[in-house]
Amino acid sequence: MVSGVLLVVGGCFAFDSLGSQKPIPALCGERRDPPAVNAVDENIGDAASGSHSFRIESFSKQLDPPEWRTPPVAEAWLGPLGPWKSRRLVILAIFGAIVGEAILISVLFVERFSRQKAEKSLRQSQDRFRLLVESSPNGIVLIDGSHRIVLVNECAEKLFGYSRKELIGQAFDVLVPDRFREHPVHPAQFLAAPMAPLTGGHREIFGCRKDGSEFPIEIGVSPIRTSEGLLVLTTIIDISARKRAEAEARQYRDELAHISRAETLGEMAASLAHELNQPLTGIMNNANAGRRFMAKGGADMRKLDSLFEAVVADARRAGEIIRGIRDMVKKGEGSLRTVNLNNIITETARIIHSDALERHCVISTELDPKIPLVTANPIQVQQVLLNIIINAFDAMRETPVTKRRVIVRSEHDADGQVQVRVRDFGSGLPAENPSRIFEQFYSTKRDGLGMGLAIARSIIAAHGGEMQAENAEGGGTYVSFLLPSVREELV
Amino acid sequence: MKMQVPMVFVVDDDRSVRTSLTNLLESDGYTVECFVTAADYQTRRMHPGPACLVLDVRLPGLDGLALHRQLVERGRMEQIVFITGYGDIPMGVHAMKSGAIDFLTKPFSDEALLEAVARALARSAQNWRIHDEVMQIRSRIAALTPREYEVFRLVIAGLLNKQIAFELGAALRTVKTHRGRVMHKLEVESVAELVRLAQTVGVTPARSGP
Repeated sequence: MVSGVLLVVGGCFAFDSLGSQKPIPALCGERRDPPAVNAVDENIGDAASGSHSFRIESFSKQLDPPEWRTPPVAEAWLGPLGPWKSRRLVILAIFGAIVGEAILISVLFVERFSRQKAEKSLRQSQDRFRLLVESSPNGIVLIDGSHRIVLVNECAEKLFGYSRKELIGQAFDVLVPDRFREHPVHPAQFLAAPMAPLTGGHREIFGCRKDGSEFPIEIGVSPIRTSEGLLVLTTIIDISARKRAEAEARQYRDELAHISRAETLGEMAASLAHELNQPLTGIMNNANAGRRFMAKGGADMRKLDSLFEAVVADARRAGEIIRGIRDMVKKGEGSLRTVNLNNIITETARIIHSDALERHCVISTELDPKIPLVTANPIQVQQVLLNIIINAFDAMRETPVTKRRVIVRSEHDADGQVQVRVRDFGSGLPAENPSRIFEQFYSTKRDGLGMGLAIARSIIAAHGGEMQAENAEGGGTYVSFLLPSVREELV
Repeated sequence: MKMQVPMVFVVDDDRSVRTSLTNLLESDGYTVECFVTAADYQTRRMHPGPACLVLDVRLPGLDGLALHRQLVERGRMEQIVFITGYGDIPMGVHAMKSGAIDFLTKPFSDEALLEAVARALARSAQNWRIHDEVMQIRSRIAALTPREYEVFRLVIAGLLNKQIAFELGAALRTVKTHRGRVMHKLEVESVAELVRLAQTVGVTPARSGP
């Protein structure tokens, strides 16, 4: 456009420069004086007839030095040398102006052309950028230094149910529920203290739609330095589907775990009944003893008190056993808690005690008193332990009675992971493919479902840990699992 | 020996069962001693009087049934009352067949236990009496000369004096004398008594000759 203006200006200048001169008959046809044209025509006509040829020759010889000789064309145009001679300077000036004008115009054209080209490529790149932003499957929101939204794409509009007009200029806060205002992933927090890229679960928060409903999102923030200052590019992914799939998988796993627990409990029913009978026997004996002492008369009060105390202790113990069973039968739930694995091991050893006796196995524990706490579902970890220990018992069917031992050991490593290791002295793992024991429907037991260890492994994996089995030196098996400690998770 | 106090022993690995049983038995006036495992009990010297062993079937290491078998093999005098958290019928039948007094399932009534213990002690006392009698008879038999012992075995085989004389190649009068001494030394009046006594201590009749 600028070059267009220049062109116009240039044209006017050219016109003015022409206008200020005396009109050139041959070039400015509209200002041509009819007599002059006639004169030229006459001269040309004379020259053609040959009568004036000598005159022209002699005239040019008389007036012009050789270097100023008029070209034959000009001679033909201008006819007799009168006008050329008298207006030579003017004519040359006009020619100069015309040439200058032509050069200027062509320069302006070239400049305009290149500007158009640059504009076109700028427009193209803008289009591309817009296309890129608009066609992104993720919501994109650009925020300025005062937390105001300066750009949103179509996906973001759809995700949040706002139109573009409604969002531009709003604070980012409208897009997230209040409770995430302080979250490090919130662009305001990010602007206040830019930090290393956040990873994993920390990027998962909730978005808030226009209608007030919430939905899980994963949010990525990255700073962009521009001439307008620091902007924050926020990419938003709707993770509802992923969350739903995760929830389904979790539910499926929990249900399987429940089935497996019920199966384990079924296997243990007899020994659990025995376990419950012990305190009941204690209660009954002590209560009857008390009655007999009293019936005899002159009962020792201290003796009676100790009997009652024993009754209370046994009743409590019975209650705990029942609670343990109820927890295992309970479906699905059982929340994550911060737990000491040593307690779970001790509890499990107690539950399995009767079963061990029944199978002539001795179970012992070697607990590291300094293991860090872990975040775990205690019931599910107990289930894993029970599973491993019962498998260990089963593996020792052929082992001589005096050698049937199961050792449960807890320890922690430098990385803060807690390991639980169960050693048995049984038949060991299948030689050809030891890890098959973790496969579903693989069982070496006659009446085994083959689900126990597969479920145990999935439980441990869901806790962020890993489970493995290997043959031990001197016969038998080590089955172990690792769980990350709480401390590590906080870092 | 006859005046030894009866003792009740308890072997159970569960502490609350052990102590509560002790309380119950003491409330009925018994002297009680407890053990955690079968091996612990084995190390104890046999009580030289009526004894009852209240024994849990399932024990770490050697279990109750195995301990019972060993005690029977060694001819021990204590009588066994089994207690168990969950006794199935075959296990109970097996225990009773091998000579247990009773097989009680936990939790059991005080009457059932005390009655069983009383029965066990009575049988143990009876066994001691038999044992004492046998020892007495054995000492009397030990007083017989070899010749008299031969005559004794031939008499209880139902042989007449003549036949005995023939068997031994001795005079009839000699046989009569031996026979009289045997009756006297063993403190019996009739051949029938002599046969019963022989059965009591397990002296077998001599096989008559070819």
